[in-house]
Amino acid sequence: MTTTRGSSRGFSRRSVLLGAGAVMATAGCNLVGGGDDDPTDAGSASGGEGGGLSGEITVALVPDPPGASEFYRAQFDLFQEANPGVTVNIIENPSDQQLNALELMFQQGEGPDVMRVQGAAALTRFYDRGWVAPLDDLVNDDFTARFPEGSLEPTSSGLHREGKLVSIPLVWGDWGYTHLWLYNTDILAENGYDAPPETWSEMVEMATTITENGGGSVFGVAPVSVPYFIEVAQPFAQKPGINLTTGEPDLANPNVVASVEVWRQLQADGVNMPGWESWDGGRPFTEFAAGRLAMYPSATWHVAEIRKLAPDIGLGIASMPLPDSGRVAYAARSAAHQPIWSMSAESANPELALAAMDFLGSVDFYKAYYEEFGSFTASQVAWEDQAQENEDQAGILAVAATDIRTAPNPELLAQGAEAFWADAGGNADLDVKNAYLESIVSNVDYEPLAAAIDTQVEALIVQYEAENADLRSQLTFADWDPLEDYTA
Amino acid sequence: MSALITPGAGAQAGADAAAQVAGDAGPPTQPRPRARNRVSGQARRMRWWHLFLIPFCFIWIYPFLWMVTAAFKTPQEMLLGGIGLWPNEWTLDNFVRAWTTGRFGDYTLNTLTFAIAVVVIQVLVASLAGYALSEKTLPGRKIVMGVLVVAMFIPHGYTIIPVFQLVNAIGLQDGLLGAAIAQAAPGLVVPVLLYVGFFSGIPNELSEAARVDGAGYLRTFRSVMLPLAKPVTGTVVLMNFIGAWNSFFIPLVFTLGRPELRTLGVGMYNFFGTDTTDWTGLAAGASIAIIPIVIVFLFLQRSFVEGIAGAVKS
Amino acid sequence: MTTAAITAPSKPGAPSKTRARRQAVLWGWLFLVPLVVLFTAFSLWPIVASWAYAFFDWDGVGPPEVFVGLDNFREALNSSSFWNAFWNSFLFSLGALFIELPAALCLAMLLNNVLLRGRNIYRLAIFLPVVSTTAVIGLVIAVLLAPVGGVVNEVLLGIGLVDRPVNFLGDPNVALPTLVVVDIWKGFGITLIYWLAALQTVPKDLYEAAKLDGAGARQQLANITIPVIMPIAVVVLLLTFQRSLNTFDLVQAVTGGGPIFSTDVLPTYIYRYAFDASIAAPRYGFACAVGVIFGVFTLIITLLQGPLLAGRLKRTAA
Repeated sequence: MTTTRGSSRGFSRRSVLLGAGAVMATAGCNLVGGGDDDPTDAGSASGGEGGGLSGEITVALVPDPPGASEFYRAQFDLFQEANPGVTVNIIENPSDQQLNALELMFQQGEGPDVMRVQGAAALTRFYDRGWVAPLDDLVNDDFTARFPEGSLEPTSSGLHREGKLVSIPLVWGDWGYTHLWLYNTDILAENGYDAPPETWSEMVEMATTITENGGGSVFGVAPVSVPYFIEVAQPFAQKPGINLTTGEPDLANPNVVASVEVWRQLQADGVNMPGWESWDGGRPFTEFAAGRLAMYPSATWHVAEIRKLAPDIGLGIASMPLPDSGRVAYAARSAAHQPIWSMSAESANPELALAAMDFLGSVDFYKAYYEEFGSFTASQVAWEDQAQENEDQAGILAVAATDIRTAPNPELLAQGAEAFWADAGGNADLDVKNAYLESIVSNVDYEPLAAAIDTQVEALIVQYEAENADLRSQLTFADWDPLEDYTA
Repeated sequence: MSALITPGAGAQAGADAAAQVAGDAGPPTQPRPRARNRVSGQARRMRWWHLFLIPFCFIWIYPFLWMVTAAFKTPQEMLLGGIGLWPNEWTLDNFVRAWTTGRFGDYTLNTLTFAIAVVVIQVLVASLAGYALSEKTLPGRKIVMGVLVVAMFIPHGYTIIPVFQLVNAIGLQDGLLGAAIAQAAPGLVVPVLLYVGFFSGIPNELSEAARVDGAGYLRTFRSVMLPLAKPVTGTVVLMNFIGAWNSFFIPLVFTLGRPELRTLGVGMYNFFGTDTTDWTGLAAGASIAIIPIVIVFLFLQRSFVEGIAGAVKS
Repeated sequence: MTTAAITAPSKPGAPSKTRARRQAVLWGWLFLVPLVVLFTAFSLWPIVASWAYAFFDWDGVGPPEVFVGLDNFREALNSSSFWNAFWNSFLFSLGALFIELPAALCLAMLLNNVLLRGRNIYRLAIFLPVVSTTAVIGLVIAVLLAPVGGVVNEVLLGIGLVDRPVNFLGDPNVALPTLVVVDIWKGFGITLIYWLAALQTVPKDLYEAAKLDGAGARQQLANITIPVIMPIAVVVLLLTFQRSLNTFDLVQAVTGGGPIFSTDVLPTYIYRYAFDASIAAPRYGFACAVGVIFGVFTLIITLLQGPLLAGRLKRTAA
């Protein structure tokens, strides 16, 4: 045991106290915090002479995924090289704490110049507080050309608020909407299958066979990411669960009931891999890589993680199985982009901050990020050719090309339903997850649980209608065919 | 004016008084040889306990051992290799990453500063207050004790914002001292109560004897009472050192503007991504961070906790 | 310390009793000043502030403006998920009080015996889970207890105690007791160290004397150990109770409160409303209200359930 080496025999109390004193003395200035070289204050020393940029800015980011810490430092070193006289200070926050940290920094009056806002909800919050600067000065033909055509429309980009561009994306817009059915080709072959299931009943049949033959060490499926499975059977975003063709809460509709019923039955029959009930986000791909789980609904990023753990595994990537009666809907693209980077409205050196934003939105940066981490980035031109040569990435692209349709987004359309949409979508008590998990795990009917949530959502609509009489019509897109892209 | 009362003498007086409490203070006239026989017989009997303790402790620390050995494994082996301890393929990559990603080099000194500051504040404040509160006739004692106990049951986790505003207001927001105070103050209740419990167990005769010898209030406390309280001090230091060493939220919030002041507890979180976690890097970081705690533990156990036992025995 | 320069000149032989008494009181108050200042500013004030937030619908940023009166309290008290988390928290404290506390005392008495060689190493071993990083421990526990390939299940199956793997963390009926046991394991070392400190205050001579009187081990425990450590024991009891009620990290790391909230405790419940990064609109006001209710109920239950404790506190305070 290593601990025995750390015996305290050699210590006297005095030596320890002396040591402690020495530490305290050397670190004395750290205790009270000298005001000498505060990076955020120094940012005020701006002053671009003759078009060149100079001064300091602070970027608050999240070192995510693992290894990103070194990556960002190297990238901003490139930015500094290209702009002599510029210093970029990086503040790293753990991803769970980034938003808390940003809020406290702004409250302290020390907000960073450039920050990672983590997504649409927080961007809206920060925008409402006036912390986010408009970036419309960036937009020119060159900038627009970096992104897919038509993806910078204010009503659908996801990057605009009140018509102004206020954020820049990092990953590809469809990266988060692409939902995969992953399967282990070797396990399937051992059980006599040469292709993944295309329908729910095929899936049930295959999963049952695999679990039966698995003898308690290999299992057919696990009900993780159930929403991906449900979304092919319902024409709406699951939060807040409103059917956008009718404007009614619709979590208890027969198609959704049927899809939850599939999993509930698999659970009751002992087909699902036991233990999934308390898995954390990394466990499905770990079990898959270990060869214990044959198939599951997955997010795109799992593919790279599986490859890291098991480089030679027979990994198949397919579309989600469909109801036997056919597809009802596609994965709903509610915005063209996912907002990540924003610039502070309180920046002391806005010119430089804007240049840094331009850098984070450059093809070079997107290419470097893709090459480092394998995630598709927001500028398709930066990776499209390379991705086609990689079997896994080509598989993801194939699913993405067929399985996503643009859906109306009442929040972005900004016709008055935004407050309701944010409130209902952000309410943890209205999360349909609670209903389907309880149904599957406890083997109870899903329908009444979902209906109870529908009732609450309906009550919330009525409550909002008191101030916004048009709310229902703002939530209804009767003309939209859920099997086609929505066009405003 | 020979006011210096040795800890040993004090402990003896405490022993006598405690014997009265127990109600059976027999005259200490021990026939020596008999006692020694009994002792060695007992020692032999104690040996049997190892048969239970060794396997028990092994199972007990198995998860800990797994954490330490995982620091030497590849991510594949850690996640897919099951529960075996010994790495098939040893690697030091995780420690390299802990050093760069977790910034363990930069953060160790900060953590030491922070943890020592917290412990010094707590021992000073709590022992002073504990001694004062152990005097049952002190006016206002009931109120202070009552407030302390009540405050113990109100969760503190989500009250960081007022603390943050307060520290901002007095200008300590960008240094480790503000963080140390914010960390130390809410944790004062337990140390104070421990000191109160300890000091009130020490008989009044002892402090009166000191006063008769001419020692003032402060001197009685400093030369007699505080040395006597070593087991409590050792425990308070140990628990709060660990708490401060692993602390995450307070050092994070209080070093927002100066990330170079962050501590290991914060550095540890660099291993958690939005979707994925660098488990082997985390295990390496955790293994590094635990070494100082083990040293502190062994040191305090021997010099403090055992020390007083020796004094009482003599 | 500047106060060190001041010495109380009480002349031996001719002490003015009231003067000495008055001085002792002044010194006592002086000794209390640092505690009162720090504790009021950094502990009481934030608590009072959070009581105020509890009456607002507030997302945690800027001054709270939307006053909602008692709505937050009403909502929490009427919510079944609040009460679920509430009782789960109490199950954790029952485990700590009725299993951890006595078991740790027994082990502490064993490890306090100077005749036991290597007791420092044993103490360290028992203590190590306390300082192991919870997130990593959560991963190990999940692997150990897994129904598929988990060691614990293989052993149980091997010796025939069960005929099919136990879904320790996935079965809503089993997950909570499992976590209570894991929590006891994780926190056991803390209680052990406190008991050891308490036992150090029992003078050795007492045992010698008792042995000469022919007192057995049980009588020694009842007549010497327990009475002498009582003042500290009350503190250890309070501390363990309070710590067990605030179990957060472990639950968050192992089950996240699931499956279907069967292991949800109040700290994870509060976290969900106030801090969870996936929540778009944090509800600090509501979270504060829940914290206040929790604190008040805990206090009442402590005082109701522990007449012994209350009496003891009164005696110490009197």
